[in-house]
Amino acid sequence: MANPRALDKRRKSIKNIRKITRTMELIATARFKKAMDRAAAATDYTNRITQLVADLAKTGLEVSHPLLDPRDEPRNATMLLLTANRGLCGGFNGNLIRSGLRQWKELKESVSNCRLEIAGKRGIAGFRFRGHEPDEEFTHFHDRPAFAEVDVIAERYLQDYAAGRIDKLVVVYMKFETIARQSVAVETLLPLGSLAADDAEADAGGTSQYEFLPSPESILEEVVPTSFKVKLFKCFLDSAVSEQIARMTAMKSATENADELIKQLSMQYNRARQGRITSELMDLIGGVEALN
Amino acid sequence: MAETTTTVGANQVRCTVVTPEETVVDSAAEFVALPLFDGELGVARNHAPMIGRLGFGELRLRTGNDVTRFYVNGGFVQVSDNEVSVLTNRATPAAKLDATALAEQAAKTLASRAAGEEELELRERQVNQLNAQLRLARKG
Repeated sequence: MANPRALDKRRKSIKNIRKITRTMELIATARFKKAMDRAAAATDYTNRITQLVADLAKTGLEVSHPLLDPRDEPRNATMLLLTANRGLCGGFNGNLIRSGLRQWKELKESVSNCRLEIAGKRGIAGFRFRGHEPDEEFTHFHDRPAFAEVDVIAERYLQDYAAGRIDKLVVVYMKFETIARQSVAVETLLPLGSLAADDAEADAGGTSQYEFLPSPESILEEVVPTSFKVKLFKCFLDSAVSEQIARMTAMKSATENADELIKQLSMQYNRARQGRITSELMDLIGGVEALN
Repeated sequence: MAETTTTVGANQVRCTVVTPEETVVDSAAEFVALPLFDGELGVARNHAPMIGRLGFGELRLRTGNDVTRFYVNGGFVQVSDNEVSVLTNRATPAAKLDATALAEQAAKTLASRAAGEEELELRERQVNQLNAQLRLARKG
């Protein structure tokens, strides 16, 4: 028969773990809500930029920009992988590292000169363990990435792209689709090919009613880099939101699992205790019988 | 785009300032002054539709005698149907600018070394931006 004291000890420690996972779940929920609000604000900004591009396109302006044209033979490519700084969030980091590795191999095969940049301690450690030393690492992004911080990185990419040091930028991150679904997404942010989607919308309207200061061309010149920056920022935000959701669900199931274990252990403990009492009684009764 | 939540008076325009991080302002104002790339632009009711590029400087919202000031840095403005939407990377309320810290930073930037035309230009731009913030901080 199991030792009731040992069982009780285990139950106590599981109760403590449950407290921790439960708290982590609550914290993740609160952070998720905040991150979600920020993501919503960013969506507002992107919508307006899209609207602006659509209005620009109505002027009959040829939407062309060096950032939009794909380069014939990309020789220098950069892969940016966004992971979390902390673990205990289910398959979040694991999935990202796995997809990141696959993507990295593919990129290396097709492009001669590749740079690897990773945000998040988990990703850095994961890649290093597998023998890929990142060229650049960021660990200062937490659950609230600031635009100013992302702006620095985006600015560097833009400069590198303009100078021909980068021909292609691929971002691997956890895309937030709905609360129930997030998936690893691989997006090519440079060259920025997708402003074309906005052109289709533009056809619906007639001529533009807007006056442009200084000129549509100069505004377009500004809009394209801005739109790149916002896209990159959105990736960071999505990643932050997805991380919190992943942690929330992971901690929720951990708490449930702990509940289950506690129930089982309580039962075992009670049985063991009862068993011990019974056997003691039997002893006593046996002794009394013997005396008689 | 979000629905109109703010009520706009008869002689007012609706002004929204959006940064990638948050919606900073969504309110009605009688007059909006914007720092365009080449100077200030005032927008009152029934302004012609326009899209413009912003520089850095002071964004002012006036309603009656109330003036709210912000420092904005770069971005775009779109005016249509008595709605002014400002898209900018950064919008800081003037009250939150710290004059002493800014003055220090401006002095430091000015004293820093810059070699080559590009760096000089960059430094000058930084100093100009800091000075613009400084002016605003002293006003607010």
